[in-house]
Amino acid sequence: MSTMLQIGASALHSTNRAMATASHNVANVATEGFSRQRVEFNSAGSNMVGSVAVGRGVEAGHPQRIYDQYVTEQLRNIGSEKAYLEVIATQGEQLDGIFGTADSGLQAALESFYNAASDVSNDPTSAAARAVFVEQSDLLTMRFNTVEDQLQGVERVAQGQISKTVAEINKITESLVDVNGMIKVARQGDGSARADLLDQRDKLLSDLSDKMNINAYENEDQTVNVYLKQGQSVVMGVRRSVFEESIDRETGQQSVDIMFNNARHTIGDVITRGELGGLLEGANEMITQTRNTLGRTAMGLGDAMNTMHRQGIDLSGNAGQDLFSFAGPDVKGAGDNAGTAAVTAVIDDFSQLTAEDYAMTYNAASSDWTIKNTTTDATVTAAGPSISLDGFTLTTSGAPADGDIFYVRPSRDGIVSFASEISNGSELAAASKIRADSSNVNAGDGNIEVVKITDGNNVSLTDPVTIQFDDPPSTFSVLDSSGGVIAAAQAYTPEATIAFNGWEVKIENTPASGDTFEVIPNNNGSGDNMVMRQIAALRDTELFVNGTQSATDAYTSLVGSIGTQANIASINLEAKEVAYTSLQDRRDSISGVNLDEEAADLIRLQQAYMAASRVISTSQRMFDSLIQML
Amino acid sequence: MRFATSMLNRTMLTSMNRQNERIFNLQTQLSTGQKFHTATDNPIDFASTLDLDHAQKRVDQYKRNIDSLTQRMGLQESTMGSITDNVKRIRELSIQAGNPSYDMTNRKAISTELRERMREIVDLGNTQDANGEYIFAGFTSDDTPFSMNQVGDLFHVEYNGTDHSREIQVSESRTMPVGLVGKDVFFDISGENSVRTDAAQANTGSAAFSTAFVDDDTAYIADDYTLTFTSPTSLSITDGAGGAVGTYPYTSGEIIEFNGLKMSFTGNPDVSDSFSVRTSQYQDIFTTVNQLTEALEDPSQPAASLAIDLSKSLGHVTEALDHVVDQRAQIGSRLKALESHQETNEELSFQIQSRYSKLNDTDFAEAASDLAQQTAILQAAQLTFSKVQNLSLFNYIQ
Repeated sequence: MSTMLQIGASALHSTNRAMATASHNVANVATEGFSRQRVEFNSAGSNMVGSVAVGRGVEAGHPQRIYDQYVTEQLRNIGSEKAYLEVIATQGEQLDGIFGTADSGLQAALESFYNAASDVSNDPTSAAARAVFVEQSDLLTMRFNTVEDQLQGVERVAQGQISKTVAEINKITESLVDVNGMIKVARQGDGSARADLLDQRDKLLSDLSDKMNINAYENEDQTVNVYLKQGQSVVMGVRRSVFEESIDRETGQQSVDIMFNNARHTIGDVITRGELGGLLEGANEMITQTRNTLGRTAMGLGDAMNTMHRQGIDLSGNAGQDLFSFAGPDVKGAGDNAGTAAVTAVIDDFSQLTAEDYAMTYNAASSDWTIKNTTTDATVTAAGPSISLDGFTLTTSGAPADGDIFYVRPSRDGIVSFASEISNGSELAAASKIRADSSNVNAGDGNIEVVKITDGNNVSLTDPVTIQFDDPPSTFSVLDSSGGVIAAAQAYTPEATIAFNGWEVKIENTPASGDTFEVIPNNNGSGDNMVMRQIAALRDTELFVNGTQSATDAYTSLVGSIGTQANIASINLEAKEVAYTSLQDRRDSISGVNLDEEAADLIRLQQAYMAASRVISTSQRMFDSLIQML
Repeated sequence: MRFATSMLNRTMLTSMNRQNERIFNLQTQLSTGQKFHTATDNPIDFASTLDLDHAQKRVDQYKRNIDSLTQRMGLQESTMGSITDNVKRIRELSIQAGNPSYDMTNRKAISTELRERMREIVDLGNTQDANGEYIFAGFTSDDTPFSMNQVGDLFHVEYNGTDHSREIQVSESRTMPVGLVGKDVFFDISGENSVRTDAAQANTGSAAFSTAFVDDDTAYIADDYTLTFTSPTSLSITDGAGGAVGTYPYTSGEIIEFNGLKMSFTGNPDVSDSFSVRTSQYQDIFTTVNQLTEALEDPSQPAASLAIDLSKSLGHVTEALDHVVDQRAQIGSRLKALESHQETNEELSFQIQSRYSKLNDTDFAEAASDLAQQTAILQAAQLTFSKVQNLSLFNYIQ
């Protein structure tokens, strides 16, 4: 009887525990990261009654969670990818918003500007056309400047998100360390940690891998260690690294440092996935690419137009001034440079210029500089004081110390500094500085034409020059305004280029001896449009990328590139979401709670409980009838 | 497979989410008529639409350029028409002047009309367009291209414009000048036995040629002559080789004759001011008229010599008429070329637009039928969800 009572009690106790566990499962049906738990029943063995073995009842184990380590790890990895892609897609969409459509974006401003230039070229004497050009120049620069404002907006948001993410990472690792500590302490009878603590641990790991790509290893005591890709420790049992935002000294780019045991490491380039990976890539690559490409476009266009405009004269007969102004390359030394060196940079050739940034490091041993393209990581080693590469020239001065770094960003300030310099339509130098005319009394049918101005800044450009054909007219002399000979007996070839003083002209047909042609200042040449026609033709002039891209091409390919990055990210994201969902399904099919199952369990356990109660009441009745017999 | 309660929710939610997204997408397509709006939606096609838009704007600009050019050339064409009429009339008059029954009074009347015609030609040469630009002036379009100086019965017309007029882009590879310049129209007219005159740059006096032409073909010795004033009232002439031709007295506006040439100066020369007369293949229309009126109004001219002079002048006038007609035809052919450029542009514009709409226009039939399908699927999903959601064993535990 006492055995029966004991057996009944063990059954009551065990079913009670199992029912509590089932209830726990039901209660946590909607809890994220929860793994269903199960209580194992085991026979409690038997006692020998004489030579007969009689069972002792049942024993219930500790609640165990049902889970699959492999699926959990895979979920973490895909979660990390997913978070990364989400950030990239969002960043791309934000940048897309800046570009706008063909009707509203920067391209529209460029088109309107070219149209205004063409209209001035059609009607160089029209004050209205000139006024529209001045207005469109202003609008164009404003549009570029607005893009910078918007980029800064995107950048600020990204910056804020990086700070937030870093703070979250620190919070998660702190919790992980806590949970690790609890796991160490809270061992159960069977040596395993409590199921809910392990769930909590796994949830933290999954949160952490949403933020960045990590590797997690479970120790024997079921605590975890977390490492980054190249083995940097994030969490070691109950110790952890602290994350901090930083600037990568090697590249000058946005980065993250970790501090472990008082040692600081820059690890931005190791974090390539998760939210933080996406944010760093967005800030360092997509935003930089956009700003630099547009900056280069603004500067290259401005430079080409200024060069052309300086070849012209305005309505008052004054030489054309710069149409646009813009800042030169941005060069900054690292804050901890030990030497006294200074570096300046000048752009020589926009067609060679990349849309990338550079970092130059001094090597004292070889007294030279290593210049690294921070996007492609390609390096060039050269000694100062003058180093030319990729369309710009660096000039070093002063005494650098070993390891001193300068960050060179050639087109970074292009769009922010782009400004229109012309405020009055009459200052537009639509006409060429010079023109070429044949003398009204020429006997032959020779015809002269200006081919182009090769050097708008040549001091002698507008000096009047006379080309006089000799007798016989197979040669000609070039004379200055006072009849002085600049060049004598030049052989005449029809349509051959004749170049002096920064201009090129050509003469065709058959001049007679004594015929003269003049290259003279284009005074009162208000009906000429040579300069403005060239400026309008910049619409399709391939100024960039080794002369393969016009400003519009560069813009279109930038929009395409950013769009593609965002588009690929969203396509991949969709694929990852499908994979993630199916993994979640797998995980849930193993660890998830099924309410029907739990209900069935409860019914089953309830019946078991009732039966066990009946065992106890039976044993009591047996005891009662024994007592009555007495 | 074991099935967790959460899986049911997730599967349903995911699929309904996806349907919602598709429906939203289709709705946007249908309401805007465009397949995509940003580069993210479809980067390759979006970039293509940017390219197409750029091409469209460029073609539009060429169309505008051509329109403005056509307008300008139209004005030149009609002006050239009036000029041609005047030159035709000059030719009629020079034929009429040969009438042997005409006496000096008739000839004087003809001369008067000839001068009138010439004045009109100069006026036409100084035509301005709506913007106030002189259409025959070339680059210096704000300045009167032709200046006229009448000395006695002779005219001296000078062209102050430039050799070229500005060029307008009419297609990617082609520019076209906005029109003819005065020099081409009135000065570079071929003519046998023609001369051109020039003043030395170093001249300090006010004397200037009023005209110079070959009067007597048989007496004319083609050479480059230099005329140097030896005093304010006399000049000496040397030929190209430096040989002396002779010394002549000078009076402003009086004709000087030598070696078959006739010329006259006006103004007050300084001593050692020099001028040159050179053989040329061109004679301008104004010299031709001078030559004509000079022959008609010379009272001492015998009839035979007048007939020779008139036939020579007629030759020059005919050349001038041919030239002017030819120049006008040039404008006509340029206008024709512009028209064909414009047609090409229209065609291009059409192609660009049709490519654009192929890329980005919503296929309404397809989108509408897709929308109906997606909506049906979503409704089915919602219905299933509510049905399945009601199934639970807990419903039966009392």
